[in-house]
Amino acid sequence: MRTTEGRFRMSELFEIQNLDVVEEPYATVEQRRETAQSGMWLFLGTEVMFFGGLFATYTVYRHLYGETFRVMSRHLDVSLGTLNTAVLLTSSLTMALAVHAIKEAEPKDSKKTAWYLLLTLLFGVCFLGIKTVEWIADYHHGLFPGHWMYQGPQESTAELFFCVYFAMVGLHALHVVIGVVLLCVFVILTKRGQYSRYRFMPIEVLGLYWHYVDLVWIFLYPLFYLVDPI
Amino acid sequence: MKTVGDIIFKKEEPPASVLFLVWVGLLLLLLITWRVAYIRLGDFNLILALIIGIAKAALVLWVFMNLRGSPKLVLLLFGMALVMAFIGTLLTFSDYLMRA
Repeated sequence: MRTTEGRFRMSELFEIQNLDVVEEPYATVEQRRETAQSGMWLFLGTEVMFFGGLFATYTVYRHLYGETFRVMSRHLDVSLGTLNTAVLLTSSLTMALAVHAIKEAEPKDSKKTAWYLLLTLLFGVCFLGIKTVEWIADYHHGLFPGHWMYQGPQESTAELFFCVYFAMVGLHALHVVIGVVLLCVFVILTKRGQYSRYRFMPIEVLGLYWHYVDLVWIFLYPLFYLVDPI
Repeated sequence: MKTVGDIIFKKEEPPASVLFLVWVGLLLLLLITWRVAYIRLGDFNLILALIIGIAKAALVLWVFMNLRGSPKLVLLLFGMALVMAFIGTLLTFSDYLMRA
């Protein structure tokens, strides 16, 4: 309940509100939902610009140094990359199921949603774990920019591939970390019964973010791991 | 008792079975992407990988992110971003492709 002076208290964030009641500046519930969705999609649009620039960089360098990309991409573990893609796709499924579940949940009965969110979280952590394993191996083989000890074909331009690889996949992993942190918060809030079929926009919006992270990986995977595998 | 949620939100929500179906489709496309990469097709490998990637992306966007049930404003916003990214990429290439 809003205080009579209209001042905002931090604890209001965690109070269940009856979202059939619409407050200023929204005229209807549909408008409020549309606003939340549009806001998130606009943010995802900026993320498209962000990764789009990086993909353009990748394309230019692959065009200029095609042989380097072909040779150096074979140093990446295709099976781990494929497994990671499957893990992220499955996490997208559990996230979509969580959003689906919350839209049918009665207040104080959001256990199913919490479990789906937890599964998504675990898959996300699994993705990060496999990434860590890959990167530690890369570091030990001296394929890490800053710890570069590669000797072999395409030696003069080889580091470029791994610079682009770690830049793009690293930034993507950062996005996954952010998603995982948010998921932690939401699992706790959902378990506390903050969300229901009358209040699910935060979960839907988080779902959009998580699906976007999956979307970026769907393109990163073939561009780095499947250049010309043996 | 019918709530606001029932009236507005239910009709556009895909059932859980559709979500599972899309997931299976995504894993199949992943399998295809992976296996086709080992077939030597030269330049066409990249084009094929991107086409399958776009197919996967379309599935995720349309069903998981529920673009099909979203207001048209959302389509406009995201489409705008894609167009801007395309323009930026085009302008970048107009430089690099013209170099000696």
